Amino acid sequence: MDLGVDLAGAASVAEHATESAVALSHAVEDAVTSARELAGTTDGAPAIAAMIHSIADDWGSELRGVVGQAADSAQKLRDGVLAFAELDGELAEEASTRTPVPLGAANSHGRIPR
Amino acid sequence: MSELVQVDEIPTVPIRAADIGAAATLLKDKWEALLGLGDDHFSTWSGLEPVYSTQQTPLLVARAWDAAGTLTKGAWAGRDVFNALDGLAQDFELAEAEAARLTGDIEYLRSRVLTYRYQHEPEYGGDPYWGWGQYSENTELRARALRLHDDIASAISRCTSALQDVAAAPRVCRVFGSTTAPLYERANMTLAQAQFEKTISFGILTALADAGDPEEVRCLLDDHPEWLEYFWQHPPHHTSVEAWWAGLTPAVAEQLKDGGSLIVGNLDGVPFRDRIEANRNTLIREIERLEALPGGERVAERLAVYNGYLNDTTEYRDADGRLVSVHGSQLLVFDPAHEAIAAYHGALDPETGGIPDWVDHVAVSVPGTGASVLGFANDRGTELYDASNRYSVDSTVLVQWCGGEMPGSIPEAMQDDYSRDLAPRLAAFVEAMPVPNASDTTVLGHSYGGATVGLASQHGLHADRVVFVSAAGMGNGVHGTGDYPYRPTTDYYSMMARNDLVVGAIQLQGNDPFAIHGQTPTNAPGVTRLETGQIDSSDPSSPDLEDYRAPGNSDPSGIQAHSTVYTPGSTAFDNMVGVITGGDVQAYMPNQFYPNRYGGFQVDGNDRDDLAPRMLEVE
Repeated sequence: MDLGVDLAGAASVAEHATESAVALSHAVEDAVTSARELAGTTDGAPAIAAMIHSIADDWGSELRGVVGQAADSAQKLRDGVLAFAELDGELAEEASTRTPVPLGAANSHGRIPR
Repeated sequence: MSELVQVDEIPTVPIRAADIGAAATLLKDKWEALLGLGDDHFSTWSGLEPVYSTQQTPLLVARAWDAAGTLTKGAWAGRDVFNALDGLAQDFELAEAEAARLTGDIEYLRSRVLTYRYQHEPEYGGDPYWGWGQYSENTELRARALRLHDDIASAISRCTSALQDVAAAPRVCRVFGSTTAPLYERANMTLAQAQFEKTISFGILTALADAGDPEEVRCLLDDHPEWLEYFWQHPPHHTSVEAWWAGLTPAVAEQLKDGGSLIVGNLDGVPFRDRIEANRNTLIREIERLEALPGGERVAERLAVYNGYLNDTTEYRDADGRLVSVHGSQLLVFDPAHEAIAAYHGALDPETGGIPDWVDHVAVSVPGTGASVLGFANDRGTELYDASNRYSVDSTVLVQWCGGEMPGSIPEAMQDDYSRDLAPRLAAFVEAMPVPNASDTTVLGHSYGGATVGLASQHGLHADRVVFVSAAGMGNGVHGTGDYPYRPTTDYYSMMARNDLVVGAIQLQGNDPFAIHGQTPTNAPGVTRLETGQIDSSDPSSPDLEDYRAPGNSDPSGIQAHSTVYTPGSTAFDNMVGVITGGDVQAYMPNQFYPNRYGGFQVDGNDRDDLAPRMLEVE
């Protein structure tokens, strides 16, 4: 079946996008932690410490949202690639090994259905 | 005479400049790393368009662009924080140096004054004595100490002001030049995702339709188990399915009902008759599969239940009210892997295979905790269907629906995620039902099913009437009917025994929109509470549900009362039927509290001598 897409290429993008989202997630937490540490050194000037805490909270929440969106995008791409790959049997195996999409395993509550 | 300036008049620099500088540099490094990763992230996504051209692609890339923009702004914020703190560190470095100089100068002046005083004491007695120029030097040093105090305060003020600018900077909502851009982006993303999922779903359906025969369909599904999961996770909209199904040849439809029964039987938009046939095929194959297993108690139990679905007699009434029997349950949903099952009670239109146009009322009944493919309170569905058609001259059909996994126990029922998963499925199922134009729809939810119906209502479930029966709540996070988009065209009812111990502990204690499953429907504005009354509504001397103990049942009446609302002939049951059929129902009779010197006592509303039952007409 000709789907008009380069599934191996798309799977590779999905894989890198997932890794990138994970790296971003760690980097955001590092950045927020360093902001909090900075705030800790400024306790002698409570107004400054409070401002830094506020900025860390605000930007932390903003960036976590963005990183969550990035992870969601990567997941959507992985779902899409796998679904296309399954339609195109030749690439199914390759795509499924490259993109470990958790379909068909435990349900959304993390349990194997009875 | 001026007092001698003291070292403790030098202001303390509140933060060590070296500490601030080091922490600010670390922050800058971390946020710059974030910027680099943001660039990498966008570069990664930029490579998608050449290899993957789908409806998803432009918006996924736009999202990556959005993320990169926000990360850039975040990194800028980090850089601005660094600059503000770096400035403070430099100011404080100068302040620390000045404080050190002042300390030395003050101590030097002090030693000179004290030495001079000592040397001249015999000459001038014990009075303090200042040498030449020491008065003005003393004043100068005090002025420097005051200036240092001001410098420190100014440095803090400058830094705070710079940080306030960072905090007030626009967020991601301005990335696309509009505060509402993310809303459009989300809407576009949802739309693109839905179109994409539709492409995939119909790609799979087309592949199955092209397979040639049922065995080939089964082979394809065996090779691609993910396809089944894909349909479970991304069910296509019923209107697309209706159009697709209508375009199939009878032979292909038969092939899919046989080989692809797990998909077709659970697909909203496929006519009821075809779903029932498909699910019967799934049931037969499940029984064959189980019979081939080594055995054991659980397999035997499952086999017994499935054989019941396959062979038990289902009775319904035809257009003339005559009782008709058919072999087996009419299953509209059957997916054991997801604990999903639903049964239809009623006649099928011979032409469309859906609900006949002579039907006046359509009801959907959702059970609660413990429901699964092994038991989903289908007997209650049967009894409601039977009573609705016997009590009223109108015709009613009913679906007993458990379209996915329900909590298996009370502790599990303390989680809302089951209801969150089930709610969109219920809303989609009700929307897809082929309800005749002149019919009305009632959705009832018992216990956890009530919270599920509540969240489905928030999710867009559209019914003429909704009944919360001994409900766990109106849905997690629901504050009242104001959270339901179809509130203006839906009537809401509730009922719960006064001593319900199962959900009463969290639902009868007053208004708490933050309870586990949201606001209680028993006293929510806009919800009409109905009376649960007596176990036999035709016998005034029969026990109230609150006092009733079923023969042989050792549970406390407060436990039983949670479910005895479904006892046929009880006031509660009759009220459900009244809502379904648009008849008369009995309003809740409020309790009365009588104070006395021991505190007081309460009389249940239906035991009060001063109250007569009040009937309401369901429109």
